[in-house]
Amino acid sequence: MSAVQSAITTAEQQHRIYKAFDWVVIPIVILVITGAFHIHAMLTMGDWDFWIDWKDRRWWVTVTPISLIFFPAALHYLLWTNFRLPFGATLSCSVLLIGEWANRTANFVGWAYFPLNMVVPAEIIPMALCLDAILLISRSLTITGIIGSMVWGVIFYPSNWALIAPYHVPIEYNGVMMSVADLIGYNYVRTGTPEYIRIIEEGTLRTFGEDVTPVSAFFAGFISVFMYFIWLGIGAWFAKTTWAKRI
Amino acid sequence: MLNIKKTILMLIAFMIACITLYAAPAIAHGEKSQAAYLRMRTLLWYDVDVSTVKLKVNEELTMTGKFYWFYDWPNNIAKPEVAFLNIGIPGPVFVRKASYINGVSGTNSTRFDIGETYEFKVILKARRPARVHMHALMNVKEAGPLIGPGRWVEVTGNQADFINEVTTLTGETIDLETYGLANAVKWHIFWGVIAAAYLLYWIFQGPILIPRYKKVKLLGDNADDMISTTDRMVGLVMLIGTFVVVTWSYFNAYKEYPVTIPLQSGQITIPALPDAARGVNAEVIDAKYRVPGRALEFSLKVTNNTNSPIKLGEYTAANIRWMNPEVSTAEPADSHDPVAVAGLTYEGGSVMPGETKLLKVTCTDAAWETYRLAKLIYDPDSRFGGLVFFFDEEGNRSVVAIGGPLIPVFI
Amino acid sequence: MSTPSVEMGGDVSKSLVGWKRITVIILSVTVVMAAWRIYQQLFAWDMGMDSFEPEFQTYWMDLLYAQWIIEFTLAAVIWGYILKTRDKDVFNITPQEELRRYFTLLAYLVCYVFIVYWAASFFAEQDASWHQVTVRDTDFTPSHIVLFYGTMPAYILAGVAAFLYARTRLPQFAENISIPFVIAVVGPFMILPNVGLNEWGHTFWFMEELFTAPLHWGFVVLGWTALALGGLLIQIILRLIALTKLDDEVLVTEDMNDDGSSY
Repeated sequence: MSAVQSAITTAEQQHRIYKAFDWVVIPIVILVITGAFHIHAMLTMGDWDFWIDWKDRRWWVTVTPISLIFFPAALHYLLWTNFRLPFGATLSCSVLLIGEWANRTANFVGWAYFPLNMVVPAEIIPMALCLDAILLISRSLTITGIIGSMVWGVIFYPSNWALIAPYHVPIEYNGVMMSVADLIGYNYVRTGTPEYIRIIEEGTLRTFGEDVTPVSAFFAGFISVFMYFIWLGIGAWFAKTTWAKRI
Repeated sequence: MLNIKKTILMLIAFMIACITLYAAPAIAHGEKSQAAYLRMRTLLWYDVDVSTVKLKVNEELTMTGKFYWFYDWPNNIAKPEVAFLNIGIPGPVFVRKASYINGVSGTNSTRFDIGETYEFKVILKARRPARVHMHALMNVKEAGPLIGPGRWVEVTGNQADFINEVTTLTGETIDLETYGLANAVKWHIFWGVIAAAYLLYWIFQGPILIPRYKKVKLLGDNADDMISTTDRMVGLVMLIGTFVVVTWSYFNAYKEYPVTIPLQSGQITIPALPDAARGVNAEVIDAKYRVPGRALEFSLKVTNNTNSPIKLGEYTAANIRWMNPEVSTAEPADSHDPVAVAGLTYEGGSVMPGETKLLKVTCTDAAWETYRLAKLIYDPDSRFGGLVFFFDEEGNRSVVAIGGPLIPVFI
Repeated sequence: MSTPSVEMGGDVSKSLVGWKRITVIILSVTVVMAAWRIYQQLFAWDMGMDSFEPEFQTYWMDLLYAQWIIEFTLAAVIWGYILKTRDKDVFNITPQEELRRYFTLLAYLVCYVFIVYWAASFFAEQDASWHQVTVRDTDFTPSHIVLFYGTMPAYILAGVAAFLYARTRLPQFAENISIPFVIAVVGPFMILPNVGLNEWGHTFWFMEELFTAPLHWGFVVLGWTALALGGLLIQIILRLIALTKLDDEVLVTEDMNDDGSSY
């Protein structure tokens, strides 16, 4: 390697090349994360994210943060250890939302004709900002994993309540009480997705009275902590610069 | 070397040729892919009708009918422990305003009993102009959609005129088409702007990739020094700011919507209708499918326990009807409604009260092939099923489920 | 190795991005993807609901066959061209030339990941908007024909092309095989064969569409492999550092301060 000769002679040239590199590579990073993170997200927590009548207090709150911490953790490894850039979570969650919005408007609304309010994605930016901020303040992946991931899981539901609360107002409909979200799901016919396919809370956790959400949120945070570290490891494996003579 | 341009042009020409080669008649939509035994021996629909086939946006349509859960349910298909009465339409062309099974609201999933009959009613409000083939449909958990008869329905008008208003228990009248959307979009934009600002804060320090990588390597253990006090202040402000906004938005939403309920997921059980056989028993003694003649032939041992003589008027399975016009008549409702107007003939005449008699029934029609029911003889489970309709002289109907092994006759 | 005694073609640090080719790539991919999407808008609901109708054959199966023919032809032409025009003297190129080629590789990668975006994000989630709404009566539905047999082969085409470009024109990649590059190309490639599992499962188990069903997780795991582009990024950066080293700089290498204590 040491035999490699330089192609340039001045600092100005070097700066120009580094800038050119950013110009091409940042869009590459954005596009590949959008694609990879989105396919991961849609197939691990997608149903809850697609439909307003899936956003429940138990499974949605539990599954979404756990499933979504994978990529932020892997990117924290790549971007923090190699570049000291603390925005892996914000970047991945932002581009995921862009991908989701593009699809919901162009396809769920533009192709299948569902009303947009039925398919608005969950709000995931606040938890990403917290995770990144804790990394930035602590400058430690370990502290981020323990405290940040806990916050990540816990804050998910509160940050979405402002969006979904209107859909939980009760309605009497044909002699049955439903939430607005249930009614939207019932009104707007989905032939391939019947009511029973929803994976939602079926009864409160009896020993905790009505407080299903905090229990789910803390559990999500707890598992997110483990997932964060597992995905730091997987991120490290993917970021390896291995060369082989043959495969 | 291949001439790339020429190759691409030729391929495009080939593709256009393929696409334009055929004419394009009208289209229905697809239940024919389901195996014949599944269609004949799971859910048997009858008396399905729609109140209108042409309506404007905001107008309503009612679909009614009955369904019978076949007594000889295939072993490999999940039983209807959890099922949901649905409608097969391409996206929400209609909104489902109401659905009833035996008069009970069908908003929840339901448990059904094998061997029982239920009637249904679905009220739909037209939302989007389109011409669609609409099916009655039952989703059964782990079995999938069991598709009922379909009708072509045309909706005219403008989707922009559609409104879907309901009044909540808190007294507010809302339009479900747009309810809550502006609020959700506002929050997404708010957080999106903050995320973008944070990302740009770092990207504008650029070039960020190669120089920062070099710095990390050069500083080694001290690489954390690359994060300045300002950077950390940005992080702290962002963290506290996020907490404050989330907390405020959370409690504010509770203030704005003090009464909320969780998603409703209860399940109901609905009692079945009285037995539609009304005292008529029928049993298949033997059954053959004659491949060259496209005809089902079966011997039926019928016992009439009613007070008047009965005649066989119809055999139906897989949403196809074979009519005996001497007893009962029906016409196809549209181009995709399979009714063999004179498809059923039988030997044996009337079955008198108290009598047990063997009837030799023949059901002939091209539908055996066009609707892929003849494939039954190649299924891993080649038992057939269906409903036979007997009529007495006053027109009273007895509906009896029949079924049994089917032997093909190839010559 | 040859000595860069003369600066050929002006300052190498200028116009490295190649905005023109990037624009052409982005525009062409967008046009193809938009064409697919418009085709679906026009013919999916009217001609794509019943696989037993003759119109389905005309509008959808013929599209599928045409795609297959085009994809196989393009793969043969593009991959063949890259291999045939390989640099037989790849180990003796000037640093300037190598630098330029790295940016060409990045242009290939732009093409690859842009199609990955369309496939894994746009058309993949679109699949939900189709299958959660309709009755699945064939493996070759209007959304699958575009997603599995259109966009996925398209990114495989671009991904393998990028890999072959590096292998035939960049000394480091010609000498050794970059494992992260292999993972980042082969992983997403394997998503296509994984369609077999998907259809097998949907034929035997599910006729309804639950997107988070374990049956679909093969796609998820293979989607993760795109993260290996991170490893490739570091490999490229390390080489570019060497290619852009100034005389008074210390050569930065990956393990220059490696004391084994980091993660």
